[in-house]
Amino acid sequence: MNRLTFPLDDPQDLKRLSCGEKVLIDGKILAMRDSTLTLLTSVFPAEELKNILKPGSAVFLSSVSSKENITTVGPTSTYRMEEKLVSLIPLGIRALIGKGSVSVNFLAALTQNDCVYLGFPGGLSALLSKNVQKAEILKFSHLGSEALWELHVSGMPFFVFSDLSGNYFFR
Amino acid sequence: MKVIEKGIIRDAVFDLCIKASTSLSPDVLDYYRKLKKNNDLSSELINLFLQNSQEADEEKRPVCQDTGVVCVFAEVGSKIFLSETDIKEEIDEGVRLAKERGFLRDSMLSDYFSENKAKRSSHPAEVYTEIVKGENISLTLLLKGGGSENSGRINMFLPQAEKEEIYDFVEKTVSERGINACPPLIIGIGTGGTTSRASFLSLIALTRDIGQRNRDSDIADMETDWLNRINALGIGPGGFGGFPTAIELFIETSPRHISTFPVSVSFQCCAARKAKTLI
Repeated sequence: MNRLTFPLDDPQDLKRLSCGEKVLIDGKILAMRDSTLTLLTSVFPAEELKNILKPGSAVFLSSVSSKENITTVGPTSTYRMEEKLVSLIPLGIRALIGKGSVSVNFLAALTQNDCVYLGFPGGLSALLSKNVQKAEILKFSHLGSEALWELHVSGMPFFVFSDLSGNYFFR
Repeated sequence: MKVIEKGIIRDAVFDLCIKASTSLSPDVLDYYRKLKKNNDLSSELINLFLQNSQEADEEKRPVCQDTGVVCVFAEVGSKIFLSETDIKEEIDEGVRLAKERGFLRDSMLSDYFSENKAKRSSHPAEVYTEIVKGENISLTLLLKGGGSENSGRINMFLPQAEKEEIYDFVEKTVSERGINACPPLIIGIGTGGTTSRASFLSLIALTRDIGQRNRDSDIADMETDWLNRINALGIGPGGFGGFPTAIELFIETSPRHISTFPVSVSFQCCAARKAKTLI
């Protein structure tokens, strides 16, 4: 099984991933969702967003709740955020992690920017969250579970929903 | 007359929140356990749903990060004396305490149009209270996640609409939106006099236990037939293909106006979480 560490040192590693297969994720990934994206794209110019995202980053569309050493994460529906993500993806995102089907136009935007789409079915948070070693808020703490979080993950499992060749899982 | 002291409903709701959040509903678990398993992706996912619920239960953590809108259906017996108890306040307090303890997410925004300034918490709950005969309070709590909620639909049919037209609407809703509602689904269908009644019935349909058919035998037959046809779509667990796309389909009807025919479709997701208690 493929295993990748984020942020990616070499984006060429993504070429190993094929649509439908499982991949394990290590390293640091960013967690955000609806309100985070609204604020990020309205507050920061593109240059600053590049610094926040960092090259080769993975963005997990997920809320994060952290209480008494129990952190809860899980993928949310990607389609809701397509419009805002289209402007963010070219700034350094190489793996977008979410849930469910996306539009043809959005798939094209992912492929054009050499970004893979990874995901997991909903409703499996207890299993998925065990792979979170540490969670901290980077920005917008007033948004609570929708703040911009950085997650340190180890062996977090996902399926490849679209690969660099544009093959798509839900077609 | 039975007196319900202050705090009893709050504590009951707190317990229901924990029970619902940290485990799939027992009838759903039973359904997943009894499913014939093959060496395919559908069976792998069903096993993951079972394993996930077990881990959540053992570690007292949420089954799904989206703990939803907390919907509470309260049937209050006419012989109950509530004295100083405000049902709505007590339910919200129970929900708030469950959030404090980490069992529910801060999914509710106080302000519809300003997410940035809005207060965030797990409450208010949506409370539906009905006065019934008797001396008990029955509480049913449903955690209704955003993914399944976003996939629901309501449509106004012409009064002469045939059953097949209604089915086509249900199937189209599942085909177009089912993947993002987190299948396998429980499908609730409500018809009403008013749109509000239809959508309420499609929601309360989701509180039925798996296998509990409508008391009207014609409607019960429709439920079985439509469920089989939805499963023939092959959307499958997680939208990954295979079986099941839906684990149940419940229809709730109410008399309608001679010139209207509203039909509402609501979904419960694979993380079907509900809990019931009697006070």
